[in-house]
Amino acid sequence: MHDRQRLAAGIGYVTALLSLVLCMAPAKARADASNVTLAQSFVENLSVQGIDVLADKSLTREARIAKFRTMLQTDVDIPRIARFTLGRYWRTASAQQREEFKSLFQDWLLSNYVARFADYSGQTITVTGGQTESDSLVMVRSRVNQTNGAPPVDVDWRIWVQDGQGRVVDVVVEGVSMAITLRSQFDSVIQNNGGDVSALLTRMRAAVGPTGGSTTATSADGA
Amino acid sequence: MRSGSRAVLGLVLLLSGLTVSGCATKPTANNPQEIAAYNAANDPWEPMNRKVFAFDMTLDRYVFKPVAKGYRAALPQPVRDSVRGVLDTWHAPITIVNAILQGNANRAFTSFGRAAVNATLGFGGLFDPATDMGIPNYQEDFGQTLGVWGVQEGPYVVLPFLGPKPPRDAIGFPADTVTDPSFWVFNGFWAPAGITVVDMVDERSRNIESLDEIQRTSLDFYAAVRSLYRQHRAAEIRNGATASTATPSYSPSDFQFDDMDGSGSGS
Repeated sequence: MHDRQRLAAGIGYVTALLSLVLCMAPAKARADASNVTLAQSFVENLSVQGIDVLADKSLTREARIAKFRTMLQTDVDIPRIARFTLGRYWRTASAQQREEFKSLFQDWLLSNYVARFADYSGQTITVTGGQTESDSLVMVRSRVNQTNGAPPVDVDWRIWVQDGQGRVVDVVVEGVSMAITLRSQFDSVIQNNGGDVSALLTRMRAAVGPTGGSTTATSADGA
Repeated sequence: MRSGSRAVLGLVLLLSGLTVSGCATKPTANNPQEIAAYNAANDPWEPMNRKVFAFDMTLDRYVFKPVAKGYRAALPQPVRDSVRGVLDTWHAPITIVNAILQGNANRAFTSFGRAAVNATLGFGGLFDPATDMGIPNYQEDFGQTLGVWGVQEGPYVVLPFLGPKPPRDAIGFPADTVTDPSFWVFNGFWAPAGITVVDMVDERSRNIESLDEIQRTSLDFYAAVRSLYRQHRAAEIRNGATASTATPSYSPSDFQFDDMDGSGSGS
């Protein structure tokens, strides 16, 4: 009698374990699939928002920059990109240097890409697919259709998905990753200055300019 | 920086670089992250490469870029497109031969069809009916073929006048030259050299803004070009397909940080 009870308990235990394992595999697959769906619709929404801002000719330059700054803060995972791009030197940087790097990095991104706003001429973005790279990372493929007869450009978006929220961590244009290019540059600057993180901060500060990211990139509009 | 003797200085630096052949400092053996970064950069001749790069950029600034700008200002777009079309039609055998060597029959046939259409209906490439018919324009070269065959790129090398040419592409370059029909059709030095110069000027005229943009937005122009060149070549070798998740310079776990994501599964 006692043995039979133990056997029943054993079978029950094994069955529970088996069903748990069997259920977890599809659950993981479902999570992956839903991450991809979420990331794809995130990129679709983001591109619609971005194009609305670019195409709205009634916006002043300052208003447009303000809107992009908001998008950058909510839809781009700046802290994560900052850590990625600082790479191995994140560990050696002091807490103060890390904070300054994060804030400089955002200003620097804005000042670099604000100048490109004037280039917009009706391009459209079509999301063409997506695949998971890791539990939280999805690569969304898209195609930017040009208006001047030039061939379309393949743009991939690395989207970090966490708690049902997607954020951009990388943009890959024709196979060239922005995050990887930045990381190799930052690494090179610090390494060529004897591993001193402050050398990078100095150079970034100079590039952003004394007035901050919103007003520096005025000269490079148009040709 | 702005004096005319800059090119001479560049040449002197280049020659001194070649003889001294400075090497990047190797990392200390007990720091695995440093070694990983050193291997990822794969640029043991960085000091010399930087000198040659500076020389190339000086040459570009005072010669190639102004000539390319003049060319673009002097000739209207349709004429420049005809120049590109004729060059592409001449160069088509390079793409066809390399597509075959890569075992890519589809690209070989497509490129043959494109060249055949443009050579005939397009009057030798002056016009581009192939694009109107929706035939894509592929570019394959022997450096890419070696990559498809599994040959590694090798350490980064910048050559005078030619720019980034790591060993795999340095080998590919002469192979493409002899696959180019103009090498066999035109005798002597000047005709092939002239075609090469026109090709370079036309190519440069199409990249004026994008190269300016890279220079303007980079904190280390040399390192930016090195990274862009490598990523671009890797994308060309895999023919535009999305990068496999792990490459020598990237792993998806690079975006995972334990102190941001709790005790996650990341490194």
